[in-house]
Amino acid sequence: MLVVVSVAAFWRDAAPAWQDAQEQVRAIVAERLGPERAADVPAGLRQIWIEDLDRVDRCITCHATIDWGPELADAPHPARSHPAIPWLDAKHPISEFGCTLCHGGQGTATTMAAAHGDVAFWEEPLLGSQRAKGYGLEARELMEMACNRCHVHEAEVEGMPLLNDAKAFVKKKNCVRCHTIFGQGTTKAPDLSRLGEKHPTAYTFPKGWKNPRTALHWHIAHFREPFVLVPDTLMPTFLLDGKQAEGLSLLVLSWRKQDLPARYVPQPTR
Amino acid sequence: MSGGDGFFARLFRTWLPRTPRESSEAVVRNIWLHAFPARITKRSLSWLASGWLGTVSLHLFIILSLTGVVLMFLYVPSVERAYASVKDIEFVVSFGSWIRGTHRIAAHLMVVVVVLHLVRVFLTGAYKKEGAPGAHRPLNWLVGLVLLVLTFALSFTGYLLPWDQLAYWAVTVGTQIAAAAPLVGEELRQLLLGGTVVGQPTLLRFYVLHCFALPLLTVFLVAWHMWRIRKDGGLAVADRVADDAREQAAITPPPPGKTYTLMGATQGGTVQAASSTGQLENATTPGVPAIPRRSTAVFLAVLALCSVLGLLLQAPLEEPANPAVTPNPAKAPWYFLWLQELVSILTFRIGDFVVDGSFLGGILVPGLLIGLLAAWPYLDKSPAAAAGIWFHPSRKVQNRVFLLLLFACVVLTIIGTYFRGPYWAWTWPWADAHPHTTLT
Repeated sequence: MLVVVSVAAFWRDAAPAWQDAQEQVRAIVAERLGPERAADVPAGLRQIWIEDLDRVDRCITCHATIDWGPELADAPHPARSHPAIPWLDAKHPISEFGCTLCHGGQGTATTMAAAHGDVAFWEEPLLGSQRAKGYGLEARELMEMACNRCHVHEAEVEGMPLLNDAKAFVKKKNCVRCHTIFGQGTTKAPDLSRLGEKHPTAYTFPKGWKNPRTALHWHIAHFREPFVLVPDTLMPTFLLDGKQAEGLSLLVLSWRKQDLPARYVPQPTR
Repeated sequence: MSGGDGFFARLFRTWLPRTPRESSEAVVRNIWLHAFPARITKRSLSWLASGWLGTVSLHLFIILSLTGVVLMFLYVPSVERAYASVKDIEFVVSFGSWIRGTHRIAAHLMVVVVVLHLVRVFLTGAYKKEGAPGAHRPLNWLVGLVLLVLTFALSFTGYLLPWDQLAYWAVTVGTQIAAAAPLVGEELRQLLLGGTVVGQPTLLRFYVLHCFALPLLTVFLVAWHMWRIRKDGGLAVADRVADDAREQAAITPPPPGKTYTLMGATQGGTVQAASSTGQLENATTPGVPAIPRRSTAVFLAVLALCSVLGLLLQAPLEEPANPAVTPNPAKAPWYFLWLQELVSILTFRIGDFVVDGSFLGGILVPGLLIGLLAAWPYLDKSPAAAAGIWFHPSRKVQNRVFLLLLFACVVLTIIGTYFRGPYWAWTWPWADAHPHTTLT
């Protein structure tokens, strides 16, 4: 029995799930670029460690060809390479930002479900297209929330149309007349500066709630009809369309205390 | 005498015993074997006499020490790194998840087995004071009780180390119970925590207690516990064997021819040796290799069980500890849930007077139980012949009361574990009180 267990343990350890993913990547590369290129696919457990941000991202273990450029830009996952985005790439090298800072998910994990954050006890799952679809958004739009954790003090940032609009709305409607946002405003209504830190389990969902229980769904519903979720609220009901409510919700959820190392603080654009 | 000049024999300066006499000598000659008695009664060796539960406890402790040392190489006892280092053990360390799973399951099993060991000793009356010179089993019962408390303490201190929500709040609740102790309660809690809340000082204290202080104390007490067994004449069941042998000797005439002349010291014929030694000889067997052989078999079985369970059952790791988010309900570790349940039951209101359940249920009841257990060998007036016998008729009432109390603890533990939801209200195990909530 002991022998069987030991063999089982060795077998499990010798054939972790990520090896299958690497095989998949190699197969896709072989099919598209030829078998000799498949040999170049990095093997083994790999990670990006960014000490300044206290982050370890092991995503590149499976997404082993993430930096192979246009050759694999339209390949299926996990072989697909990161799209080239001119305004993004120069300032956000993967080696210094890793993956989960922008994409969410569990960087330390080495199985797909755990890494994509589709597991219990992980509250910030991957900001992927599947999840975005649940909100009628593109993954890129969902990720604007992550962009704004750093770009919070800029009114206009390239590549963040949804949140640029939301910021303009906050300014136009003068939300700080009642709320406090980053030290400005009044205390008639709750301080929103760190709303994004509110733990998802702290949200109360009304009876008969149909959508998935997420903080984002809660805020979208709340922006559209505040009184439904908070019966005694003073918040006016703005006539928002879906996109506006989604943008505003992503904006408030991006508001967190961010302790960024100096070199990660966004520089003003001239 | 010599076991040959093979490599093994030369390396260990040892030899293979060939006769019972050499077996006995082996015990004296070999440092590893000298802990075993030269001879042991066959009834002490039987599986039914003791269930080998004490041995299983020790083996679990050994497995915990071995896996624990491996984990110590990987784990960082700081609030910044603890959780991440456990994630690394789970995700990237070779066999990390298995080793951690085995350590966890062995810890849970040790709590169970040590309690079962206590139950066995009680139900067989094996703590009873005996007339044999130098024997004082009640003392070993007390040492055992301290070891029981140490087992809880080891498990509880280990509970905090992953530094996840489960750990953080279980320890918060557990130490809150300690605070209900009269006079020194709050001081005791702060001594444990190294502050007023669970934080870095707590983690360091629990780490040192878990990995060094408590295991060291346990090793010392286990050695004493086992040495006492030898000094008390082996397991209590061995006394019954001696009784039987004496009875047998009284009935059976001594073998003919074994006579001794007193060389004229007395007048008359010869004195016949009516010793029980001959019968005792038949009832016993050399301790070596019988004990190490069985012990090894038990060890392998325990190791196999822990390994399988460690491989199959994923050790939990919840969200990182977050003092700002209290899970509802926050539960103590399962072996303290009968106490938490008692605390909740005993907290009630009579008019304006609130009965403090945390003192009654968290301090008074467990204190009384431990005190009663400690005093029981001195209060138990059943005859000496009841020692070493399962459910001896003379101990009927006390066995029933003991089992009833045990049953109550088990029921309360099960209720606390599976039937308590938010605000400690009654819930069914299949009702999902906490649907998974995420950010997006």
